[in-house]
Amino acid sequence: MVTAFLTGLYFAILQFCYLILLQINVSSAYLTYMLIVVAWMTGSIAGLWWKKMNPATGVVLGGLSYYAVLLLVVFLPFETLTLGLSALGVMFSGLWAGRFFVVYLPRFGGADRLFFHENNGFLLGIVVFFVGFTIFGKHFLFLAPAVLACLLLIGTAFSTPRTTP
Amino acid sequence: MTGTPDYKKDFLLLFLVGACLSIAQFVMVRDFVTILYGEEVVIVLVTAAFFSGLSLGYCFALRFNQRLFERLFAASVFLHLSFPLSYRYLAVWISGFPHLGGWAYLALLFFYAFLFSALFAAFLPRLVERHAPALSPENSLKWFYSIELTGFLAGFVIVGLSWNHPVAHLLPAYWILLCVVLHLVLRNRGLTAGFAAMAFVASIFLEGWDLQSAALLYERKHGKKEPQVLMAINSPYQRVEVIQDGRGEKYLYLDGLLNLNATDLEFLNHYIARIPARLISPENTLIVGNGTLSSVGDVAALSRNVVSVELDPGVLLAGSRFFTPPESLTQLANWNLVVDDGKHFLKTTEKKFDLIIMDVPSPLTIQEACLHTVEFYKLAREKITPSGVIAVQLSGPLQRNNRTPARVVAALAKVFKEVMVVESKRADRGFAYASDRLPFSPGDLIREARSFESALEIIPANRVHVFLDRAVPLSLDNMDLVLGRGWERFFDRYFGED
Repeated sequence: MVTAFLTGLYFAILQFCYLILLQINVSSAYLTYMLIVVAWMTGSIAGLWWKKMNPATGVVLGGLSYYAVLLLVVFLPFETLTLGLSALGVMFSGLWAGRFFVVYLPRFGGADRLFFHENNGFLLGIVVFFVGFTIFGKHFLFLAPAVLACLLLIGTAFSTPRTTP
Repeated sequence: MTGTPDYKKDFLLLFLVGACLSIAQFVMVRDFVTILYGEEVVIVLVTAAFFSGLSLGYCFALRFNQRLFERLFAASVFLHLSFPLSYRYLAVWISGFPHLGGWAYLALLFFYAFLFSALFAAFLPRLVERHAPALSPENSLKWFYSIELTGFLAGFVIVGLSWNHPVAHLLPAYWILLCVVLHLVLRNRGLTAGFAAMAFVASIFLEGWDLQSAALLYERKHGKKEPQVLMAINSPYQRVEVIQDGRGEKYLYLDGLLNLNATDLEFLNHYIARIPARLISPENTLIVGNGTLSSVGDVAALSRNVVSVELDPGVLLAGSRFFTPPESLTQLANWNLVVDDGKHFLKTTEKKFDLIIMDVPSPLTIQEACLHTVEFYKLAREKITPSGVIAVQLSGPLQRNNRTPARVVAALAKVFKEVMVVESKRADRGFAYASDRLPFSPGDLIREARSFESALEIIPANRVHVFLDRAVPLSLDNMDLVLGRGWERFFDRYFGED
């Protein structure tokens, strides 16, 4: 339950961090938002079918993609290419957002409870992101995804979900 | 959803449910943000309410038997036909009982959040469970969640097609999808036909009802006298509404927040655009924001080249219809309009400007606040000539505190060597002019403004720092103003003693 909740929180923080990162450093135009939503969902759909991804690789890949995009916007801001490459990063992060449900379903017994706890985490993440970013700004963008990814990795180290159904 | 599982039907069902969820999220967030007024705090609250509806749906997804679920779903779907009238009328009704305060609005928000999202959310777990014996639970989840997400993306496209149009262009499409979902779930031709007939009738009258119910909100909740809604559309960024009151005054509202009225616009344009343009006679002028394009004519007469940069095509549409007739601008050979984000434009343009006019809303959302930060002003400084000026409206008078005007001026003072502030009683706010070498003096300003306002207070560049000792410059690392001011306004509006 805690892992699902924390994962939802992580997904929300990651998505909103991507959004603000790109809105600040590339453009606030609607294209940015649209690209993130489409890329994240495409990643999630692909992730649902990617059999070899376990929790550790999923979380690490998502986190690394985020920090790669963070570096990209620092060195190549306001470029169209940056937006395109960032969409790839968002898609890689979205992979675990799909695969997570398949991996953890057996532990929850039913999709209702799994989605319920994940969604509660996501809901909290919306609020935490808003408060965190408005108070801590770029520091929040830099630290929050890493902190949550670490917490998730620690959490998964203490649990052993099935990785290939 | 009983009997032998029918994959094709259930795949289609979940695809449509995904599309409905996508549209429902858009409609609900836009409408409730407008009803409750669109500070970022409200946007977060409404979004959180929508997601709490999803949680409720997941929580009860497998607890209801099929019969109860179908009944609840049918009732919910028929209630969807009352959108947007029912929640607007309820908000109007609540506004008649001030003692109920914000709790009644919160109850309304969460009730409709559940209506908008809870029953849709319940479909996925129910269908995964239903097909698990045949497909295996994991495969069932993979298939159905993939399809729901694909449907969500399809809904995203439908929403995109409705941009810059009234909600009356989107809701009929939503109702068609709901009608198919209703039929797939209940297989009751009578019920489906009844829903289709009601949806058809509602679609015919929807545009009028939309404007009429919005007008009622502006009368009762905003306190406007004899309001008439001239235009109400959803742009990609916000709900854009133009209201005319009984005196014929026009107002532009963005997400329920007053952006400007025609009289204020005259004062605003005078200090933010006309005066600096007269004093500088700029070669190149950049106007950021000013979607109404109301200052373009004046500035174009005083500057050799003018570029307007506005992000929101919906605001431009409202501007051209109700505030600045397009024919008054088509004659201008020295003016260009660019639809872009101000930050992106400044970073990518090769031009340098003698005057940058920042005609953007107060920093009540993160995006708006970004345009008042140290980082943004640094970007502007890169694109300004050595004695170029940036003119900014301060949303209020500059005082010795840590509120919006002081924080914006502090951000300007951190980037530019000289900042002069003008306090206008007629405009009911201050204006800042910042530069590394201001090309005009306080005396020049007073002379230029004399015919318009005689009792003008000017804080010269060498005295501005006196007002800033408590002000933290607005920056990307310090946007607590968006949270603090947003919360303060929200709390005062709905939970304040008055």
